[in-house]
Amino acid sequence: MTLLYLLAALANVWVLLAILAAAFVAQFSAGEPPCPLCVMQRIAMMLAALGPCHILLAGSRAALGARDVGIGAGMTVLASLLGAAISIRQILLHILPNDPGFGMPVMGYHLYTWAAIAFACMIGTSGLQLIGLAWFQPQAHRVSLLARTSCIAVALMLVANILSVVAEAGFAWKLPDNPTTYLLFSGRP
Amino acid sequence: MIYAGLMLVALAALAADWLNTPLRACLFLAALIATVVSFGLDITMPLTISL
Repeated sequence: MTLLYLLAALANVWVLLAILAAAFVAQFSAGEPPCPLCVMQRIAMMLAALGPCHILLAGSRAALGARDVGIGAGMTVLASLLGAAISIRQILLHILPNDPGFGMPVMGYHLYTWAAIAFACMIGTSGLQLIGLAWFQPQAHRVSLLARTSCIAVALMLVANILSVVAEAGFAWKLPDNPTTYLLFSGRP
Repeated sequence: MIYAGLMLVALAALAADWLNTPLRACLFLAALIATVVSFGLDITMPLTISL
């Protein structure tokens, strides 16, 4: 059972990293800098990834406990609720007929629609993990290397997003609502 | 810059492993609440300006 929780956390982290990497690919291939709502969805997604990271790190130190799973799942649920609210707002902003939406669609849906689906899935899987604690038995597994690698990957993704948003906003406090360029390089305020 | 700051707090929450769980939880909640406030401002600022 403990191994199942660790594998679920591992899968959760790498699925989130894949989504965030796909967002970067869309950003650079289509030349579309992310809007403030897109950046906030990315932040919520990275905060949601901290939950499974917490579970993995706790499991790499000692036998994974129900308390650690509860904390990790709670973090994921809270961050996913925020992310779902942000992505649903962006969907509603573009819900009128003939509205082309923001950015390039990927497999028929815009990135914020995929984000809403991903956040809903994360809330569902975290709920299942919390219910599964009824049958949880602590057991030690050797996942130290995998856990560290996954957390370093999340940290690198956070750093990449920090660099991206600094390049996009320049030295301004707030991002423009409909960004078209990287203000740090264009020289405009 | 605001969003970069939020992500720095999230990075600190991830790096808080060598300290203790309550610190990670506090940093996580700080980043979460700041993002909620940022989202709230994103909704209300255009309304305030139009009023």
